[in-house]
Amino acid sequence: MNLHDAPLGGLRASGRRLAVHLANIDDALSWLEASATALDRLLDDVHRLDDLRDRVTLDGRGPVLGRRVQQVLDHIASVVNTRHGRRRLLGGLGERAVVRRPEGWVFVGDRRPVLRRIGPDLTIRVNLDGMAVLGFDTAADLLNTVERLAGALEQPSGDLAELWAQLDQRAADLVLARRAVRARTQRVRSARHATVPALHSTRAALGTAEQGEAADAELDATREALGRLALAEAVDVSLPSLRDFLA
Amino acid sequence: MERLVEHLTREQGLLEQLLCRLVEAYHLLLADEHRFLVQAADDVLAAAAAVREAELVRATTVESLVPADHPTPPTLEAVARRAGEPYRSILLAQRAALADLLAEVEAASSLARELLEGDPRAVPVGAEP
Repeated sequence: MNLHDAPLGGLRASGRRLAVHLANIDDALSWLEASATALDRLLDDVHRLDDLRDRVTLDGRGPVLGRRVQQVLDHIASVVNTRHGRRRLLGGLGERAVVRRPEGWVFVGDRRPVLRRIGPDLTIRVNLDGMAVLGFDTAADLLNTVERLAGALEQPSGDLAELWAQLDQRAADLVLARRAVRARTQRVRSARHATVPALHSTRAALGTAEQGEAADAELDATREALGRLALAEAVDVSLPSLRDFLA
Repeated sequence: MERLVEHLTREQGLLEQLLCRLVEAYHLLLADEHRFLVQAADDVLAAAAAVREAELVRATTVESLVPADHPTPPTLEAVARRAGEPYRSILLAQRAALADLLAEVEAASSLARELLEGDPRAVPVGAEP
């Protein structure tokens, strides 16, 4: 075994590990950015509903407001079912995150975490737990609350306070989820800042080592050729006078 | 005659050294230890040169033991037959030992040359592939 193999093998393994981590980091950032965008759009929708809350106070209820809320609901459902690659941002490997059934909106997504290893001892979840984020693990999830709100606004009277309170709770959950995504994004970016220079320096060291290896191989080949030539001449031992003397 | 016996004893030692160097070179080739081939070649050349130098000294000693008008350089067997005991027996025993050594040297030289030329027959049975 060539003694140069050990450090070069170590550098190659290290370079491969860092490259895998960097690929995972970039994939994680892509996931988290898509998640942040989805949450921003959901929060925008909730803020649009807040604006309608003021309109109700000023202009009263009616079918127009109900339809406006319904449009917001359609948009929310579309965002919630957004894909990222082969998966749903909020629904994992499920066909969809939410569906509308006769009894109302139902979470049908997959809650399993999508994990990415971004460092030797650092693995993070990159997808959102749609069921928790949308409040399907509570008594009043976002979509059914908004749908009930749309129905209630079409009625001339009735208490809206509880629906608005539930909407506020869902908005708070979305804000918390947005913060968590932002914090995770920051951790992944920090990991990227550490990994990129490490990968560059490992590749540079690997390049130098490989050049050294090639030079060593060339030197070995030359040394072998010279050695074989010298030995071919040397081992051609002939002692004719001794042979004659011993005849 | 005693000087001749001493020379032949020394020549026998030098032939053993040459054989040792040839066997070393052969095993270095088998083990692909190319780093040491040049050094091995130097060792073989030095050992062979020592044998040839000893041959010259021995030839001079032998010439002094035969008549000046002797037509050709005498063989060791001829010198032994002319010698009295115990030198005759000693010289004949040295002749046999030297002949065995010379055969081994020539065989080792041949094996090493075949290995250098890439002849697989040069690898003896039981050697590492």
